[in-house]
Amino acid sequence: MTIPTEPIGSIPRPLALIEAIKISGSLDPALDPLFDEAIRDTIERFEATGSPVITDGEQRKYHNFATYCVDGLPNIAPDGFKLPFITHTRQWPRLTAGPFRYLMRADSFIDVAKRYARVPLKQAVISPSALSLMYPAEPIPGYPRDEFINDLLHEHETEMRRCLDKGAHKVQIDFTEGRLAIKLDPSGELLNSFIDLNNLALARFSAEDRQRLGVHTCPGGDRDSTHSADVDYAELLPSLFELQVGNFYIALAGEKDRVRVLKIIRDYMKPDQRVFIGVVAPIDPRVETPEEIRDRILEGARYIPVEQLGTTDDCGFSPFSDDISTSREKAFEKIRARVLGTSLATAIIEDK
Amino acid sequence: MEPNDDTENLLRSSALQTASSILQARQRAEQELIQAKQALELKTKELAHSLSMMRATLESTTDGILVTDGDGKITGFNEKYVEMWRLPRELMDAQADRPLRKVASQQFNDPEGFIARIHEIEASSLPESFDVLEFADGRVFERYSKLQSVEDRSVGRVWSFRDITERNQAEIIFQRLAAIVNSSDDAIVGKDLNSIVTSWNAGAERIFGYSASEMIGTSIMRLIPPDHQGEEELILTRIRRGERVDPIETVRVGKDGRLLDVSITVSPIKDSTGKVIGASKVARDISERKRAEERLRAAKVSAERANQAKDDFMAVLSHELRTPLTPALAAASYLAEHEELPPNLREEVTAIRRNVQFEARLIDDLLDLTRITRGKLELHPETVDAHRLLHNALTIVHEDIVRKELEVATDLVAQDHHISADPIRIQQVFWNLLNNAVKFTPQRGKITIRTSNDGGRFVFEITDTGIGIEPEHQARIFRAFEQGEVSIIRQFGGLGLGLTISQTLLKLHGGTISVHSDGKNRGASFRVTLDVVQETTVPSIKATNGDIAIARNLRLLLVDDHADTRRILSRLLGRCGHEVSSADCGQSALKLMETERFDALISDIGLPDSSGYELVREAKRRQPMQGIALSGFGMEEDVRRSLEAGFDYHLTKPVEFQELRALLQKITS
Repeated sequence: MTIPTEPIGSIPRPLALIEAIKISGSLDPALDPLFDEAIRDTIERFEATGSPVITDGEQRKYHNFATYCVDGLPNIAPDGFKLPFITHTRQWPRLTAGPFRYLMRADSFIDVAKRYARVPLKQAVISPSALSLMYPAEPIPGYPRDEFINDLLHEHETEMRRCLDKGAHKVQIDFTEGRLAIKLDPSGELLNSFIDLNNLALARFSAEDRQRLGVHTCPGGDRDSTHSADVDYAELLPSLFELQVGNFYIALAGEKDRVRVLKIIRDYMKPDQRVFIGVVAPIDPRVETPEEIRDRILEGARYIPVEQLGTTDDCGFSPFSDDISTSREKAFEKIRARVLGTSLATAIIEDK
Repeated sequence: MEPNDDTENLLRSSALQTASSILQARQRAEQELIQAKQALELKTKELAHSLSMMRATLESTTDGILVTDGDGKITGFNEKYVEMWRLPRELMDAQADRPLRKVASQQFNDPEGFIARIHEIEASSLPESFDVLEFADGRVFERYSKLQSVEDRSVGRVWSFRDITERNQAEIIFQRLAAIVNSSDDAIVGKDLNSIVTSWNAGAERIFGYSASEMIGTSIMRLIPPDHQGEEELILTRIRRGERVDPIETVRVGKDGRLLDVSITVSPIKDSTGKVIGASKVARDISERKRAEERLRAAKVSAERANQAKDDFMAVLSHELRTPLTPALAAASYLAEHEELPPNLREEVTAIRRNVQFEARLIDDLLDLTRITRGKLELHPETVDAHRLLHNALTIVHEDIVRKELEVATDLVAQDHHISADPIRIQQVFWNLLNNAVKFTPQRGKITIRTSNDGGRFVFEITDTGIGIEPEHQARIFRAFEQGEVSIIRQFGGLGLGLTISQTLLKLHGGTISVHSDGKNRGASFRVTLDVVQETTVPSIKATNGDIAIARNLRLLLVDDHADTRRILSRLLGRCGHEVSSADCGQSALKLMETERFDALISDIGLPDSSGYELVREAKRRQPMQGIALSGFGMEEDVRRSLEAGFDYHLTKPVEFQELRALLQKITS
């Protein structure tokens, strides 16, 4: 039985692209050739790793994995809340007026990537719960919070459905704020509301569709730093597995006590769910060896049924477009290691 | 870098407020979900009901139903399908399409063709298919299939099968009947009870000239001439009662306005409940038949006219042939018994009288044959003594028997010898047989005459020792103009009509005649039978030689345009003591009556200036007298006319003088 392996999504952008964006902004049509070249090169190198499923490296997502869909909207302000990483903060945009609409949808990235890809493409989208944080504490006059929530769900549903319709192998919802929610509200109420919100969106899809949908959670990974690594998975995972998706992409490589996390996973995952455990840590500057990865997989297989097991990276290699802490080369080396390590583990498991 | 408290508080505040909205949204969603669930449960219940109804419907239909999915696999069927296709239950329970098709295909002469057709339908993606399946055992099914789609996606096919074997056979019969109807020369027309035409065959189009499209939906009354319109209501009245109208001959009018003679038969048309809903009319064009009948009628009239002309001719012929014989026979018969006649002359005179009688007999036979062939022979039956008739006949031939020195033995032992018969005709039969026996028996031969009774019948047998009849000729002797061999005709003369006439006369009397002969020169025997009746008073036959009364002299007016007849009869009657005045025509006779009175008028019928009928009427008007018609017209019709005109007696020429003399003696008595 082959153990599936998939990436999370982002690959560091080429420096030339990053520089060009700094000058003219991401929406300048003149940058389209640079974006296309970055996508083509990313896909080519991604496929070269042997990864059976690839992404476009999120080359076009600006400014990050979460706000790509709203950057450039006239009804947002840059002064939203600040996301506190250990080493730095990232500030969220603030919605200033209704209605809430996406400016860019991730399915548009699939259109370009399909020109170059020869293996299945995976597409990551931001969760509604993450974007819900854009609505300020004070109500927006004439645009109640309830109405915002409805618009948000509609936009998210539309984006995911289009990605499915365009043939995405998987559509992955980035839910890094899950762990953050525990940090912000230890009572778990906020986490549960995020779970509820996301499930409200997921309920609009069929069970068949939901087998192609997944959720990614991690403690954040930006500039080799995290925002909620200190939150215990035990607080998150029981609620996480309540999300109505078939696939879970859970950062594990960077965890201090992986076995403990694996046990939690074993205890709360459901029969129709597959867990892709993170076997590569993007924030770790060291490139893991295939054997090391193989062992992590075999370790995971001791707690997770092989038929429900998959491998992935702990996080995207560059969730924020200006993150150059990891080189493109290293990112692909790590990916190659994951692919090889997964193959090694598969071989061993098959021998057994 | 640690986040400051304000930032974290702001994020928490914003997030928690959002969480509150999310919670409300979730609650709404849950409420919606509950409602949706309830709606779903309701729908599920309805669906279950619908499914059970559908199942019941499927089972109650008379069609066999099979449902297959997109891959041709069986997903449903009803019991009728299993029954119609005679499939094993276990095969259906397995729901395996391939074995099912194989088993089903074995019921056809071309199993591969049956399966190939299924594949063709399934591969075609046609929304519907329809074809007819003809089983090897003669059953015929209609097969209809309909593609089933859900949201524009094909999910399978529903097949329905209808057993049309009986309908098919009915259609074949119907087609044959329709072919018969269409090919019929007769007009076969259907109409409702309002006389509106509902069907119209090619025969109707041929006869009436209207096409089916011109007639169907219109009233049949357009075919009925104004003076026959009442017929339709009479016909419909009987049809409404469920009665058939047997062929009636009437007239209809065609498209071109021609009147057509037709024979019409009308039968009621009933629906499955027996209710009369219309009528079927068969009309036959009998115009040609009518024309043929008219031609036949005209031909018959023409023939009757010709026959009448023939009768007239025969009457004239009879008259003309008889008239010259009258004076000869009268004179010869008178002379033959004249005592003063020298013996050598007596023999000559007797020969003359016999030959004249023979000539008269030939004429009578010809006239009788004419009457027989035309069915105009009239009989006047009465109860008569057959022995007396036989005796009369013997008397007539007595002279010939004596002349040929024949030995005649009579053995009249019949106890019952009265019969119901026309005495003249039965005497004629006896005379014929006696005359033949005398004629064909050689000199000094023997004739035996015997009567007896056999089973309530009178039997007359006459046997001679004559020339006999060859066996091969015995069947022909009763045919007209046949006497056997040609040499016999030459030797014995005659027309060969006697036996034909005798046989016919006997048949008319319910009698029989048969012949037996051991062959040539071995004699012949004839046997006649007639029903006997109880004896009654037998009237006498008029004017026979046997009824002679005391005579007295009469004043007679003899009228005949034949001078010899007038002269001879005047002389002979005068010799008998009668006072005779003669005239050659009616006017002369009437003129004589102006100056003389007469006891009797003896008159020919055909006179130059008038007829004997007119004369007797006028004569009797002027004077009381007896009338005796003396005519060459000897048929029954002539006798009847004579009596109607006023004659008291009718003698047919030639008449033997003794016969006339006897009649006059009767008048004087």
